[in-house]
Amino acid sequence: MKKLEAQNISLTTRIPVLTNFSYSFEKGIYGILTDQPGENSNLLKVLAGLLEPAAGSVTLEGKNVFTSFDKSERVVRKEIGFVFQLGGLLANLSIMENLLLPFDFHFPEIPLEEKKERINLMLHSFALKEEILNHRPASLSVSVRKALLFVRMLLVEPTIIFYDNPFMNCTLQLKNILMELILTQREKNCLQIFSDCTDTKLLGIAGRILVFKSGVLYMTGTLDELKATGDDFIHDLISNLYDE
Amino acid sequence: MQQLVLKLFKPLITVSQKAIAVTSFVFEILYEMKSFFHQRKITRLILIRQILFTGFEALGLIAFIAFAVGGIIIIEGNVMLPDFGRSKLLYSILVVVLVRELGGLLTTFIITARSGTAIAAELGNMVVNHEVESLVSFGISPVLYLVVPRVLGVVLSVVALTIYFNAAALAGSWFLAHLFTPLPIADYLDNLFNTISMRDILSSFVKSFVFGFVVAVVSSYQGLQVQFASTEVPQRTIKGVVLSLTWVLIFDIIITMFVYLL
Repeated sequence: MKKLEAQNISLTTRIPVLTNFSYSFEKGIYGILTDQPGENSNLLKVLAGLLEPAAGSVTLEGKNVFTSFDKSERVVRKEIGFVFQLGGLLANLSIMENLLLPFDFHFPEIPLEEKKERINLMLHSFALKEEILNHRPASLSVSVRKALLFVRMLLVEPTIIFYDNPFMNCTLQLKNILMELILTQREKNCLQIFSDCTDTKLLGIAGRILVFKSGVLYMTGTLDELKATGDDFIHDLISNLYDE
Repeated sequence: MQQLVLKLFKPLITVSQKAIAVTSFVFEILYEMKSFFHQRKITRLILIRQILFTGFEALGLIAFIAFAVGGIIIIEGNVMLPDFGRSKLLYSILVVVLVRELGGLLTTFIITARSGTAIAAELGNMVVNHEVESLVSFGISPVLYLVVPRVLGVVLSVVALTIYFNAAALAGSWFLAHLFTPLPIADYLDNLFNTISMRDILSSFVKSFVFGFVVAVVSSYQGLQVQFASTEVPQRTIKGVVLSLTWVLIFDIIITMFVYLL
């Protein structure tokens, strides 16, 4: 099983996002809770290798995930999928072109017809119609665009998946589909990390929730374990979720 | 004392840092060009669209401006010099003003206004909408996918449009000269080809190539410098235009000096 290891990571934007963070992620579902919700995306991006930390490194099987774009290092990026909370689809491309882009890049050997077939299958599993393939992202609703981000990510079949606020802008139907998807990926032994989630059902299925206080790892545990601690900071953080 | 020295050198340090950043950006573009042809499955579409927008869609505007400029030079010359239409000086002026200088410069100015602004604004908006980040998340280099096709598209378009501009301007100048003093097209072309040298053509080609590269690189760089807000996009676009025109003129002077020295 692939292991994602964060070693002594520090990152400061306006405020400290991460301070000397070390952790080893293995298969399963991980949630991230912080007292600085605005910085959750940056935290996740550092772990996914999209943002270079000021200090430390994140490695996957010993290879740095913050890589150059050399062909030899592309294999690391193929393993990692990232679903943005907003945007991410290329506005100047049609939906079909958007979905084909990472597919063509990582699997140039697969014939176009087969790729289209897989895209159609994936669209059906998200209850999306084939007609949208010729549309531009701007002409679609926010929840459809969000679903397409998941479709695009899944086509490359990553083993490590990052979700930045996965249920944001989702309809109830999509939310249920995504919940199923996350559980299916868990069965496939994928490592899944989500952040900025206020959904207690999702937090409930997380094998581990990492709680950060001012950029420092404060505590880890399942939702039940965290609830049982009686710690004021944890209590405030979790009770806020229920309020929402 | 230390603070005073730092304050004095701060602008120099800032300029040096920017120069290093731009130089490394240029080297990255050149480095990624080798991957461009291996990844043509994903980059071809961007290149075709860039050529279509920068080159093909600008044909009408370029033709109109070139025809008008060629005509204006003839009209002005006709006022200054009697029997201008028959003078050999006509051809020297046309070659020096149009082929060597104005053809490349005006084409570049038009492309900067049309495509340079579009590139900077488009890339800036892509940064704001996390489109650039999503490319990185797939392992696709934004320079390879977004910048290299645009640079190649703009360079090819500027070179082709400069040739087109020169042809349209020379046609315009003949047409208006012909209105003042009947001038057979065969005589006009014969005199023109006798005046124009290989050096003029080469100078025009080198200039258009360099100008296209400068506009595309500067515009792309400024677009990718946008960080968070869409309000940064127009600011970076304007900066892209100003810097493109400044660097085009600087390179024009340098190339012209080389042409005369050689």
